[in-house]
Amino acid sequence: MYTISFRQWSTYSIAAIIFIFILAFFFVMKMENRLKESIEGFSIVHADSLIWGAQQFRNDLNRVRTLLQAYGDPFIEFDPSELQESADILYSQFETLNFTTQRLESIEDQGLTPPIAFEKLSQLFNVLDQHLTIFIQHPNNQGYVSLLSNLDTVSDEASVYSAKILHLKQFQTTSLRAQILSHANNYKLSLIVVFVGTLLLIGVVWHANWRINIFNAHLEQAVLHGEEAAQTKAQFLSSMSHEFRTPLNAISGYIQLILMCLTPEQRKNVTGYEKAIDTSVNNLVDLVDQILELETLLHGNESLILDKVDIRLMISNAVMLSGRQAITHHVNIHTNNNHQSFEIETDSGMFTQVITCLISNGIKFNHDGGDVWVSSKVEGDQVIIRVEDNGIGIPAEKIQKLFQPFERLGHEAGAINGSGTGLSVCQTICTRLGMTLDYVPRKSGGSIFILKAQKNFSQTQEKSNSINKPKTQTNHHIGTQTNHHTQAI
Amino acid sequence: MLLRELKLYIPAFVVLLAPQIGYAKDIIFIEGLSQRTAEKPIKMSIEEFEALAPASQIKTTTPWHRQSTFSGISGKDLVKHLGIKGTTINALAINDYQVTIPVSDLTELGVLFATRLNGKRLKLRNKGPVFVIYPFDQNPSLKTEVYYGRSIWQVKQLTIQ
Repeated sequence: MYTISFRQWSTYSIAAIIFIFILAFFFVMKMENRLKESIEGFSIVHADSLIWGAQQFRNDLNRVRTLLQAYGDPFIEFDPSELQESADILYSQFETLNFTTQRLESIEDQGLTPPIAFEKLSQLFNVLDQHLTIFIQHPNNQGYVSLLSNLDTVSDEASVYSAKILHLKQFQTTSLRAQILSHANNYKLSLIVVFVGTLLLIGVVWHANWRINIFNAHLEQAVLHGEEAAQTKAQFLSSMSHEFRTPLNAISGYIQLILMCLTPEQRKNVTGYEKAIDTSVNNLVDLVDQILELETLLHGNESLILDKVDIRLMISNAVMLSGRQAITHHVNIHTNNNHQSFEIETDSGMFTQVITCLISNGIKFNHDGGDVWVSSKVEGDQVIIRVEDNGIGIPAEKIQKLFQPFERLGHEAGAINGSGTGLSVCQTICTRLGMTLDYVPRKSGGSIFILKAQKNFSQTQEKSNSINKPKTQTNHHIGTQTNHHTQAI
Repeated sequence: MLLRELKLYIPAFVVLLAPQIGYAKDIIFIEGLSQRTAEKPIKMSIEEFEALAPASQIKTTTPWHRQSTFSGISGKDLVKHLGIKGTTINALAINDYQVTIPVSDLTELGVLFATRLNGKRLKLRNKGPVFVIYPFDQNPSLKTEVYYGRSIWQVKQLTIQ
């Protein structure tokens, strides 16, 4: 039993370790994904691009200024188409800057909102672009001066914008660093949890194993003691037969001799004593016999002699054997076997013993004028034998001990003779014969025993504990049988 | 990280380094190892460039656009109609930014030499006249700095090597 428990423990522990590792694996994977998302999030942050983009935007502005200044310099040729191309490239750069700005994540609680920061630059640039377009189409001095001023304003605003984005970038970098450190700490925590959990489980398994080993050692010792006790008991019981029977036979014999020496008148005076001694001796002999019989049955030392027997005949024999006892106890036996001849394959001696015992109990535990009903009923391949009495019955709280040996169910100090082994012997025999014996309380007082026997003997049940040793005192000895069904197992 | 991000802006940034802009608008030069340019470089207007092959389309987002429909000459068609024999194409932008694009990108990755954005001709102000576009949405593995860097705009010259 403990070995199985140990295996279960091991299985549970291994399953738990696997579960923890799977859990840890998923936890670590989740952490890794979060870290990856943070890093990817960082990679799509275009703060760096925007800073550089703003710088290049200012460079583009300077190029436009250089080309524009050719207008005011009499020594350099002013080419409007070249200025237009630079203006177009500047616009293209502005558009890229604008698009990237819109995609940059905002940090609301810090007041860092790139689109808002870009808004003023956007407004100033649009004015500049319009002025540039007008100037390229109609160059004039007023426009030239105005454009130079606009270029300075836009360049300054681009610097402010660049500073804001730089601040944003620094904040995001700090935030990402904190996130990565947090994830790293979670990694550490998860690994520590897994490590400690595994150690705990290993400890539990080790402890369980240690305890189980101790239990097993105790169990083995107990089994050894049990075997020794059983051996001692067997030796005692086998010697008891001789040691008890010899003095009892001597007592009985010498009482007979003493009676023979007495005159008829003297005999009349001691007749009561002689009967009492005789009865006591017989009871003691019966008790020894029953104990020995039970021991023999329990150890399976007695072989079965199987034969086909008529159930009605067996019941009649049992009733007949109990007739004398019924008369003595003033109990009436009623039989009801109104079915056709039904043969079952069983050991007739043991079977009769069971029926006789059940009837005997019905008689013994009854009152004057009581009744015992013995009936049988065939159902398919089985016969149901019912032994019912209207005697004193069995208290409900003692039914559980009904089939235990030496259990007299409250009659230990009563006037009814017996060793308390009868029903135990019946139960043992029934088990060996492949039958079932059940008890049902009788509603109006008394007991009902129901015995169910199959038509064919279940060889598989008997195979393991039978010995091929025929009884020498039975009529169904294997050597004398002509019936081809007879077999000894 | 900074250098990689820089690639996105190099096409526009390098304009300062360009010694002279002297070029004609909406004209593209093609030269190098192809059947049509074997003897001498060819110069074609953007209309002639568009007439090289039936128009192809890509609907995608880019780091510089929301989801838009780009149309122009597919890389496969360009290889076919020019009879490209080289393995790489050097693309030069108006601001003298240049990148090297493997011909295998044209034949296998579905590169588009876009001349139109949502049906309208790309101008210099919106990164025309030719914009090299990769199908980023159709193939997310292209969303890397390598392919962002190869997505050159304001292309004025292709040199097949």
